[in-house]
Amino acid sequence: MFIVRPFQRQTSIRSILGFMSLATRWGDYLFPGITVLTRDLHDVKAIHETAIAMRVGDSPRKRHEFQRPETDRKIAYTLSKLLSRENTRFSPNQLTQRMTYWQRYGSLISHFGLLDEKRTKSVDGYREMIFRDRCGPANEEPAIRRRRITHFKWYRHNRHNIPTVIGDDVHRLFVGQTGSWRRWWLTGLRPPADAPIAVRLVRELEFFFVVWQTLFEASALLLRETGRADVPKGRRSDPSELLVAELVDSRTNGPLKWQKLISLCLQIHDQLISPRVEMWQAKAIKLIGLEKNADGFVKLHNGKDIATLGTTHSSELPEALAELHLTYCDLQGKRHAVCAFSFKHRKRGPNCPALSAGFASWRWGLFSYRFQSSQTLFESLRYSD
Amino acid sequence: MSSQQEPSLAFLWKQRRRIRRLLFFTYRFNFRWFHNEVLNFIRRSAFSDTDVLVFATRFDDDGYVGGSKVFGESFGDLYSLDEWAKWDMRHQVRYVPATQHLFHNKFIVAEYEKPINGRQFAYLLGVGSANLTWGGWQRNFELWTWDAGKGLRACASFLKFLASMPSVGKGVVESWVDGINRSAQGSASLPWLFGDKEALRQRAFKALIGGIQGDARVLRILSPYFDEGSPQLMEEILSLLESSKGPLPRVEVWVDASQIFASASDYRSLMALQKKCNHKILVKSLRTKARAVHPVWEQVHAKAIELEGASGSVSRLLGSANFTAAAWIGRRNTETVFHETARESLPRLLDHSLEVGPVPDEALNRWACAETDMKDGHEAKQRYIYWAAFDETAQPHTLTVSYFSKDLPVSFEIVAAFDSRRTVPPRLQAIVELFQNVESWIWLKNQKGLLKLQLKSRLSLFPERMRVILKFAEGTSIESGVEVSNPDFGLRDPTSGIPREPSYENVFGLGKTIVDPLPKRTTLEASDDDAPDEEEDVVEAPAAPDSLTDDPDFDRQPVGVQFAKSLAKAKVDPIQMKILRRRVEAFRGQAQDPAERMMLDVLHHATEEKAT
Repeated sequence: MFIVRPFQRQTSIRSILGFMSLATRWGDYLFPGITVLTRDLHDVKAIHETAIAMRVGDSPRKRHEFQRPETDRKIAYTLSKLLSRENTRFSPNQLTQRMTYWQRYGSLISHFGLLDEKRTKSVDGYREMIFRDRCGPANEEPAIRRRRITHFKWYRHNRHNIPTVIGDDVHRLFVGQTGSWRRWWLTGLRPPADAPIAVRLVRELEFFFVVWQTLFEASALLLRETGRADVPKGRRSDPSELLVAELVDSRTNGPLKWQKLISLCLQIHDQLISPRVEMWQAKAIKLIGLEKNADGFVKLHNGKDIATLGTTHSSELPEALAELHLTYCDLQGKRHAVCAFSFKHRKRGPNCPALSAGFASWRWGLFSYRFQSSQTLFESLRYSD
Repeated sequence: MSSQQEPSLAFLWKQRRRIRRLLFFTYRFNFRWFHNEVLNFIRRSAFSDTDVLVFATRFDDDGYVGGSKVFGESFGDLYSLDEWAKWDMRHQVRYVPATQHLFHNKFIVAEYEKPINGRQFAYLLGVGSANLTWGGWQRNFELWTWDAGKGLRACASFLKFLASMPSVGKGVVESWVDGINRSAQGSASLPWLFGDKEALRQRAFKALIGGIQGDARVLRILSPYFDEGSPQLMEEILSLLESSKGPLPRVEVWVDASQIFASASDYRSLMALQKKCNHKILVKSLRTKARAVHPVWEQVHAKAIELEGASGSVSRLLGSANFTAAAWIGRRNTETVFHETARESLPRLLDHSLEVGPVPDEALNRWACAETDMKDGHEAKQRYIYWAAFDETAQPHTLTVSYFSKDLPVSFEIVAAFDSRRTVPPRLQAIVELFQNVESWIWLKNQKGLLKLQLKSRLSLFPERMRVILKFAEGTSIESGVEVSNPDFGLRDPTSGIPREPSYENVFGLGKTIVDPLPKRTTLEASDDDAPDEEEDVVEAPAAPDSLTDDPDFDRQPVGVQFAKSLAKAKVDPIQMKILRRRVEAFRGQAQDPAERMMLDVLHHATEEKAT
């Protein structure tokens, strides 16, 4: 006799409510052509050189062949040679990607039409192609180019305002002029005059996501440990700061902490999110709707939009989030990743969540690293010592 | 055959020999999990003619049935049968009505090719507590053994009993009974529990006690469920022990403290058992070590009675039987039990991640009272649906619902839908409306525990998702997703398993399905330091066709030529002719275009002529 063991490794879901899909679309809007998977321009150059060597521009069939995983070794070989010219030694084996090069860089290569370009550039040439005002490829619309570069420059200029938050620092962080800026960066409320409209909307959305996801995760943890997750709404004077303080405090973990987080999130939802979420959605649709269908920017995986979830009364919000979570797990085909089937019916899921929101300088929330990824690509230090 | 090699379901396909056929018997069954995550592994170790037969009594209601959920309700998925399409008729699922007996057994019989002697086959019997569900084989605390070969005769006796059930029918398990009887040697070690259980129970308990040498040190009961008969069972075991082994051992009862399986009534019965034994029972459960401050209790679904001797020898009964009267005394439940002796007791079998801890009395008290504010859960226990199966091969289509209730349903409702990601054209919307219209159905049977409905019209189309709701006189209702029990692969696409569009092109096996397969999502997780939490939905790189003949646009022939070729093939192959005729018959009633309908009529006559 034996104790039954799982026969398959279970993959997890990191974006527990599927908010990442919306964050990705907003990230693409802010920085067209750049994703968090595009890390270094040396990779871009190696891919482009390999594509030219394989004469990818000649026929669709060659293009298909180029996009196959087998090409990865050729790209790694080219990259290894390219780096050795800069006195950086990496064997092709070290450079083979866990996900294929095409999956990682496909959107950048397509966006800038590199497969149709028959001449390579220097690494600086690619940098200029992406980040300099007057060096763009012919196929990129000027408005889209301007948007990427504006957001890139704005973040580069302001990123020093965002420190990594640690333990007891929280209240001092939000004092003074820089403190107001940071309060906006956290909550999306009262933006500075120079902040582009899309950045303002993204920061507001980020705050909604932080609150909702933390509420869901804390409720699932509490349900798992105590069998129930019903906590009354808080009545604190500055719930946003307290939420950050509670999230960065790694010394305590347990039902008391989950209860505090739930109560703060419910209070924030009713006080700071519900009253403005419809206005946010109207602005988002107005901004995006000029160019494309805004559904992908405001609709969640269960077909409901941000405003509908945002105007849900706090008493019904946890159950609405559980429903969204279940739908997302189902869509991903990962039922083993369910953390809570229902808070109302106290039905736990097989998986145990963890709190996701973080306040490192490059993050501040859940998905802010998308801002940092434009800097990462610009700096391209992946292969530097 | 050592169970130490692979303590999981994978033992079935990790043998160095091919599977000839498999029989899964389970109480709860999660079809979608089995279809998506188990069948493909079996196929890799199977012959081209390997059969897989599943008997099940109840859908898995672990969150949702069938793995699909639309707007908060669970639906079965009647379209996405890509893996089953590869098996065709060699895979069968038999849902057994729970009218006369409740088949609570969980066992697996595998017939393998024997490596040396090609004529005889080798049988593997696995028994234990795990249902054929994701929870059973991937998550819960379950006990199982693949070394149950000496129980093969007991298995054959049970299958013979099963074959006598009118709902199972002749010819389904007889070949299994014959094969096992030919292979099994000696008499049954311990009969399984069905029919009159009095003598069987005594025999099992005696085997348990006789399995240890010397005095008994600990009697350990593992069960998630208890009922009013549990004290009687305890009394029987203890009195047998007292008469044969002298002083009574310590008694431990390991329960499900996660409250996932056990409900308030189980904890109440457990407390009654404690009271009966003058609180000399130690109530324990399993928890993960890492969270000792806030213990996370394991979901204990294992069922075993273990006796540990003072000398260290261990004797145990394991299988599907809970420590309840329903399992060991009543005639309704059928159960699998297996007796084994071992050297290691249960606490020693636990790995480093788990520990046994006492369950405090106050927690038991609290859990025993927990049902009062869970009205839904309480009502759900009075009535529930075991399964709801859609028979696609029956013309007109039928829907059978097996349920538990003291009274009969007075009405029903069908909820039909297509996946919310699709844009549903009016033609398919009409199918949804037809299925949802109660007037489209005839009540074929409404006897206690079994409802059979039949569509009034003959159709080859049916919706992608279906859900059935049974309503009772006082206004309560029960509901369940619907699964396909008999897919008609003659009318489905062999790759995706999705039903084909009723059109003349599809008669030749080409053309398109009613809906396109839904995209499979690919989530890739980056591992780089600069974005440690990143995850992206990435579109798979398009694959180029390997050769020109793989391109669907290549070798396009005129319809007449395709028809002539199909007929020529069908002329020499009766199976092809049958499929061709079946498709023509199914599609011609539903073709919208008059020209298409005329073409299908002509084909119908042509196939009739060929047949004669």
